[in-house]
Amino acid sequence: MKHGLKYTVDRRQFLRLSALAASGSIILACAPGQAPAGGDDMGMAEDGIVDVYVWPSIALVRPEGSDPGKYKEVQDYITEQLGIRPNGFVPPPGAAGRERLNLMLSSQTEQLDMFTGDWTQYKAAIMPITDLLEEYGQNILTAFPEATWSGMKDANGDIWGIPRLGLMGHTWNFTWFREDWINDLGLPFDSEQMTIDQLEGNMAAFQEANPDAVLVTNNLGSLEGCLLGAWSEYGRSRWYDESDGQIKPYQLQPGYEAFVTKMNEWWNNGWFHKEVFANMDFEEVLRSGNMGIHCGWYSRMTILGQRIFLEDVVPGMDFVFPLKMVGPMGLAGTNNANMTQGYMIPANSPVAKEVIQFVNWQYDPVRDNAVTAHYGIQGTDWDWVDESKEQVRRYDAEAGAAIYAGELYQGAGLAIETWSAPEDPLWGRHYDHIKKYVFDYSNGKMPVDFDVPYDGAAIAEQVPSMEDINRLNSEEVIKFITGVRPLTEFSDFVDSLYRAGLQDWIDAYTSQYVAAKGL
Amino acid sequence: MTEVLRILRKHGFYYLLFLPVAVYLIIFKYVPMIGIMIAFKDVTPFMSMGEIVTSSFIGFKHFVNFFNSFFFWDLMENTLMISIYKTLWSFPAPILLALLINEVHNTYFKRISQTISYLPHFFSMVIVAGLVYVVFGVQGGLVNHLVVLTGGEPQHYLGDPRWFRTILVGTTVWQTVGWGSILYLAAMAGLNPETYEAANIDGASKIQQVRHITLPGISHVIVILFIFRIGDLLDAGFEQILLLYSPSVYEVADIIDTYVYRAGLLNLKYSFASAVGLYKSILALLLLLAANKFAHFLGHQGIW
Amino acid sequence: MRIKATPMERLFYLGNYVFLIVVSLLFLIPFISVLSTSFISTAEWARRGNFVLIPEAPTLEAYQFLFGGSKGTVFNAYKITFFRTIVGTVLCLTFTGLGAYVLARRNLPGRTFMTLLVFIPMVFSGGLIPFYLVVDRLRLTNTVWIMITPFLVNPWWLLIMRNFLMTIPVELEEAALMDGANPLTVLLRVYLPLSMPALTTIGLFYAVWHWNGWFYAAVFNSNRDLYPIQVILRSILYLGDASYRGDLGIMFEPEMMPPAQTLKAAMIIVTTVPILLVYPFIQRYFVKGLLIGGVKG
Repeated sequence: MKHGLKYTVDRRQFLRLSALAASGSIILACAPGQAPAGGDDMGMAEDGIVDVYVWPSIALVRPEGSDPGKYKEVQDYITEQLGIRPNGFVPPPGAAGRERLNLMLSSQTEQLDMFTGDWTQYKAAIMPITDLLEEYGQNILTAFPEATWSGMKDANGDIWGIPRLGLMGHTWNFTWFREDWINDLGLPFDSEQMTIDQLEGNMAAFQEANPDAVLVTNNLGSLEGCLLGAWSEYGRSRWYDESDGQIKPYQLQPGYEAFVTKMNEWWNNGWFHKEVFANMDFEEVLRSGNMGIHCGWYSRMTILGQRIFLEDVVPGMDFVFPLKMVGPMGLAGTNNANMTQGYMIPANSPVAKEVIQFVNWQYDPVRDNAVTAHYGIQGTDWDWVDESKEQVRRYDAEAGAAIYAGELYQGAGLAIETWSAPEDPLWGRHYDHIKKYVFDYSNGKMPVDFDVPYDGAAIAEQVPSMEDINRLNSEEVIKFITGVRPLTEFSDFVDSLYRAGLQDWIDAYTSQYVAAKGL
Repeated sequence: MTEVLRILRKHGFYYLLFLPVAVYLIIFKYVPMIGIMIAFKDVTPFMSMGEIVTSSFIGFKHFVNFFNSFFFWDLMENTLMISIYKTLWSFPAPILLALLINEVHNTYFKRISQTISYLPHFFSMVIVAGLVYVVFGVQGGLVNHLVVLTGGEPQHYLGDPRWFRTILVGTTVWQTVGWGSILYLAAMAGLNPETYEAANIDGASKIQQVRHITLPGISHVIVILFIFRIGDLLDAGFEQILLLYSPSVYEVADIIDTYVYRAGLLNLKYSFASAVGLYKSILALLLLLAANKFAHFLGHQGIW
Repeated sequence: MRIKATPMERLFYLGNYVFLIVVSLLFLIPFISVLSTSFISTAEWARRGNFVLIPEAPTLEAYQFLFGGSKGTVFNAYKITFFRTIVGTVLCLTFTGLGAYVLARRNLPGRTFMTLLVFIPMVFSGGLIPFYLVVDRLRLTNTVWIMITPFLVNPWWLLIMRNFLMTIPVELEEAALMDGANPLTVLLRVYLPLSMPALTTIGLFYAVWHWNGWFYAAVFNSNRDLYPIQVILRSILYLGDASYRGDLGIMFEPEMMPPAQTLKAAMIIVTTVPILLVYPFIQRYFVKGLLIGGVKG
């Protein structure tokens, strides 16, 4: 080995390296400082004002949160009114939001006094609020109909949360018809009631006029929610089988096979959009101008659709819906029984009373407070359009305005949501729709067990194969509809449900149903 | 005792250098491993750590539930097949790209094409999924556009079990090939140009040079990356599949991770998810050990 | 000196260029589409849909929305991202480099055990909650260090780095020691310069990891002033994405107006372009064989 080895660190490299190290330490020195953590000052602050910490109930007006100054302004305003200082969070995006929430609940390292979710899943971590509501929450109590509260009560009658969705009418899944095509072709339409036969006639006529015309839905569940009732007694609902005294899933209902057969017929007619059970881009299909019928979620039309209608992307395109669809077995739609979504208070919250007071303030029937928590300061961020207080004019939507994103709003739900609408062609249709139809349960079949307080956590425990059953139901039914699997195998499908553990499912639901109904 | 002292005197400097790494690993990797016990308990996401530690062990219930799942073998098959297909294509592709880029002598062209090649790495999966719809969509998708032009019927590729895995593999190659080639290019940079010059003078062909100089020279990177890839076989690409699949392709697309995601989504099954995670870890460990053994057998430095 | 290319080789080079150009277009066109979409108005997007290559009426509308007004959110997020990327990469490289250097020493007693210590976390982890509790106990939550301190070493990259270092001939070190250099000098003046290609590559990996990282910053933090730019990007990207919300999510989301594609596109450009510019700068560290400098002597 030669000894005349030259070390290859030349001066230039060395200088560069030290420069890097130096700049690193400079950056270190001006590191963003320790920000005050949410939970550092639990409960009472020095000024005698109580802090409460709430998790936002809905997607924020702006996902990245308020401008800091504006947020402070709203916070100060509410503190002044109430003597309680509310603090909000900006939830992380997507599924991470739920992850963050669960982490906060389990680690208990930061104070959290109210959050939303399915209360039956969180029962072990929350407190009953019956007495608190009685004492501090009269506005809240009177804002919801009694039927809605039943979804928040356990078997003992204790209330565990403030309702968010309540009992949802058939209003959410509607059958929408292409209005301009109906007019052009002189087809039948009645905004009160239409029959399945009329739907079929219209769709056939649409396709005759435009070979690319399609029928779309959001997913299998939406399609069932819209139409299943036409061929079955209970629609898309668990049902009580008198013959053996068991609660069963709707797939086992007489008539479900008839529904699937009919959908297969429609598929073979080429009515459905090919991607309808996959990753269909709703807006893209709408934009193509080929959508003839939409069976599904209302906001696809009132929000996504409205934007495209307003831009007049397809000249003249708009959609209308009948309140009721009927078929051989009566109403085609089913009301949604999902009603355990609510606002809950963690069991370890030191300020439960104050949270209820704060939320009660938002439920003030004068309506100003709810809009304040949602949009900011009255007069600068928003104002009522007129004295009826039905419409809100937002000023902060103007370009460049500082925005309050609604972190403190704990009122999203069927009560407050129906009070007022933004004065905005984009949102107007949406709020108008909610207001008109939200508490109308007469347009769809009522689930037989809508008032049974199922314990979701217990059911999950008793039915370890829940996901197997769910997957079979979606996967195989779609195969039947799209003709990948012949309908002659329908009974094999039912057998496979049992092999996957359906009896556990039936037993779990039946025992709770029987207990609740006192059978 | 004197032996220990002797070793410390001779190598103490290096142990000292390793100390920060060891401390880091123990605090942030090993201490949290007590969480593995969650797989053997019934833990809900809002139990405190104290409650988790003191709650009773329930044995292998969650493992048994998973093994008894109606779709267990389906999920295993899908996970492994998707992973193996991806490995077959996306493992060699970056090596090939690196070899080709390495043969470019125009510096600017080299830099530009290389920079462009890793652009897709910076797209998050939602964007990639959006692009996949643009390419394979039924109405107006680029591929179907071509199909219609050549007189065919538009196909729903993403909803077709025969095409779905191909799309997954293709997307993965597209997204990872450029970024993956960086390590190989770095390794090639360390090779001695004189060797190539000598080979040129000896009249060795391009192919011979690649085979006898370049590939052996970067084999240390190829081997270790291959071992890692084998250890990763049970991760078939959760987010990609979640964004692209649908019930019509569950039979070829539903993998362990997507199944657990759906099962846990509504029911907050933390213990179940931990049990499946631990099961995956143990399989990964076995795969890694086997791959490492194989590397030693071929005379390469493996993991140790 | 290069020897004159044979016709066969010429053909190969030509084919190579053509192939690379075609492949580059496959990578480039989607990016151009995103870039173009970021420069159109919401109205144009509503009309033309999700794949736009040439804007009809270019506008800065989306960028003005992101950066405009009194909101400092995007700028603040940039600050956080730059901080974590620069500081995080320097610290990661230091820790990883030292670890790899030690593990690369073939004659070090206990080397297998130390390698195992690095290897086991590659396979086993305790999950999110215990990790969070450790991090919280160390008072890292709600500080910028939450994105840096718990992620100093990526075991995979450490082992790759070690393999690189093991290709450096031991003779170089022996020679230096004979010349009277001490171990520290050997590390700084023999190994450090020789491992520049590997260091810059692994450094690039860490930098990009830090730049793209969002999950822990989002999930371990309640303080939105500490959100890096990727969290903002994802808030915008994933809003209105049904597959991430599950069945319950779509039940009732009156405010779920997905932002226009133009805004998403602008956000993608804002979050990718700065980090894209890094690579060409460090590329020169491995265009020429630095290793050779040492052995020639």
